[in-house]
Amino acid sequence: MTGHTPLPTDPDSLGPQCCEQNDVFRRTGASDERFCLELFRLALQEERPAAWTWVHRCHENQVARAIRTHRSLNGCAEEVEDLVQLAFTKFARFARFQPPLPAIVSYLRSCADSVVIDCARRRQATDYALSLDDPELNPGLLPAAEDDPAAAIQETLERDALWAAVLGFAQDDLERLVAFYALHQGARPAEIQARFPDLFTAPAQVSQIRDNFVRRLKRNREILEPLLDDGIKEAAAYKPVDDNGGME
Amino acid sequence: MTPFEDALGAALFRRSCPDSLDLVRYYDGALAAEMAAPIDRHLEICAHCQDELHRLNAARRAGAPARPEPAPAPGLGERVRIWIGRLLPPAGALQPAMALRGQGARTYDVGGRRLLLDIQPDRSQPRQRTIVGRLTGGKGDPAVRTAFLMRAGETAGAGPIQAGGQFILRGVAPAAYRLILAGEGIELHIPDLDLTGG
Repeated sequence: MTGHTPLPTDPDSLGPQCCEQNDVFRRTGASDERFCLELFRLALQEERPAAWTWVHRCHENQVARAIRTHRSLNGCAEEVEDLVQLAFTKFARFARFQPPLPAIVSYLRSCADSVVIDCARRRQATDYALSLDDPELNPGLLPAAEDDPAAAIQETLERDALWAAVLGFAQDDLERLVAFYALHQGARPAEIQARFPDLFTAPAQVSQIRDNFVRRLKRNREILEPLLDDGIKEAAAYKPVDDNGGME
Repeated sequence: MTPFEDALGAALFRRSCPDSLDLVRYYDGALAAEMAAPIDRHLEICAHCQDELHRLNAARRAGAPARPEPAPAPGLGERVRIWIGRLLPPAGALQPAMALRGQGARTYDVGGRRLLLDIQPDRSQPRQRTIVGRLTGGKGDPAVRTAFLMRAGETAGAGPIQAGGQFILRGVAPAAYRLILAGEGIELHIPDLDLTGG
């Protein structure tokens, strides 16, 4: 520690010291944290643009390293440089100035990890949307083991208005279970049957339950459509003209 | 598929999954209990979020760039189930299960098992610590074999876990760590093991 060095008050003096102390920390595992801490305070509390510039400059490599290290990066379409920007944007939006320094840096690291997850989720959602018309492309995951799936499903989904409404149309626990694993997890009927062989004798049984349930949802689209997000609502409201000139 | 079914399918897919930042903060043990509890419950049934935690954990443990390999959807056998430990309030009935000679005994609930940790001064290196641990419960659950002490994504120490659940990590510098007890298909995490006090 070099705790006796006077603490500058402006970002352009603090910044180089913060960057230097980051290097010291990488080499020795210890550093004078006051410079970076004050820089974060000026950025987060006082919203000084120059402080943000230096926060970015001093921590850019750490954030980029965290992003490159993340195992979900492989499922991500964006460039690392873009993700670094997104991580700082997220940090600026959600972080509060709460010392000590390691806690703030840890939050920045969390933001870096989360933008990679967001990116992989976007890719996954796109793949899933493309797969809806082609079951062979369905990227569904086998569900993990759990003791009481129906209760857990109810508990985890009931906070969401759309899912709560959807589950309201389920007639029993079997339909709830199929709805969750087919529509929330994107699992194929064969995967669901394999996971719950005591409940379903064949994938066709799962398919039938799913299809019946989706038909019921479709009959009640007037109730569900207002709960869809705007963009999705527009797509859902689209009514193609069939070959006979009538509406679907 | 009709446009309505497509739209509904797209809207429902992973709709209840926690925000990614919340999930990462959950992994870091930085969420308050009332925010962590719904994520605990969600993780019981959501393979996608379990997979994201697994990948996050792999990155944090390795501390090195990921290999440029494709990321297929994992099969059930490949997945590692991660449990995050919760520090329990001191309870006299639990603590005497170990011989406690050190500065602090802590009891965690982790995946339904009890983890007792006793932090003692290291006899040969006075400024360092020895962690004596014992994992109990979880009959029938997969065994954990190795205890890892992680700091800033790097392995700071490791030791075997005996059949009775006991393990010892010696010569540990005072700092904040993540303790991971790992076995085949399972990891028990104590994300906020602070050894700086005392």
